Amino acid sequence: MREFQSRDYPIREDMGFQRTSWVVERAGWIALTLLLLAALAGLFGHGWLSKDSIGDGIMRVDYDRFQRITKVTAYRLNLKGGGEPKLTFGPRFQTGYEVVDIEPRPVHSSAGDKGLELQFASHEDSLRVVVWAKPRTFGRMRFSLSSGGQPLSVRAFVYP
Amino acid sequence: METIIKAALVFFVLWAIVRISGRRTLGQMTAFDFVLFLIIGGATQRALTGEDYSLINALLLVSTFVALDVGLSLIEARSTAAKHFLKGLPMIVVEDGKPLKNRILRARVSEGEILEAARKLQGLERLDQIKFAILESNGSFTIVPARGGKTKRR
Repeated sequence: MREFQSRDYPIREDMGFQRTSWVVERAGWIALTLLLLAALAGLFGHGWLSKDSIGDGIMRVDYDRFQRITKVTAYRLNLKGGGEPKLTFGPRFQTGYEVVDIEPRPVHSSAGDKGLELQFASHEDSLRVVVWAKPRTFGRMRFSLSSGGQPLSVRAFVYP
Repeated sequence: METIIKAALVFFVLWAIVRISGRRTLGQMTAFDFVLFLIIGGATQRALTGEDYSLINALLLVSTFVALDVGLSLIEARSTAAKHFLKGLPMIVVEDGKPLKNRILRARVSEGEILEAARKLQGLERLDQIKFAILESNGSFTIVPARGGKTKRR
């Protein structure tokens, strides 16, 4: 009897199904490999696919485009020009994130209809602020960020 | 609600991963397999409980897993097709003392492993003493000795 013919005795076989499941198995291995390669490239955060930088001459933000729920992520802001900069994170930021830490600490912070407002001490040259935040909801995340001028629209995706 | 969805998702993802890894992976548990399962358990546990260490969360998780498991077993009992899909099929790998080489290769087992099972289960020494060797759907072997196979001496 041919090897891939189904036997009825001592057990009832279904080699057609068996061969299909081997094919599915192999497809699964390929899928697993692709998943791992995508993860290495940063599709699930922490990698070159995930790095994003937006802004203009006045303010730049570096952050991870792909984030994960409850995993602390960093928004690194670079503000040019001295003075007493005030940062405003849109209301969506407040509902989507739990702020873990802000470096340096703002001298004053408040929250209202405009969102979260952070007032920093006066400084010369450029100010670098890092906002560490934990995403609290998953899915698409979009909020505005401004330092007085044209607001930037920050987009990210949070994995569950 | 979130807990139950998470638990169900993890249940089916783990099922799919175990299923595509093939029965070979689960059949004979080696020391390393044991370590692997501990790691899989640890890795998924954190995602499931998250920051919710409440008793109700644990109860819901356990209930979801058990309910899904019972549910699947009910479906399996009613439909052979579903059973094949969920658990896989047994397959003959040695027939009248002859190894079915292509099947053995595809199932990622070896003649050595079949002989090992034959020794352990039936005290057989050679392939020609085996009437049937069956790779069961759980990854273990069943050995049916050839008539008089045990007493046959070289």
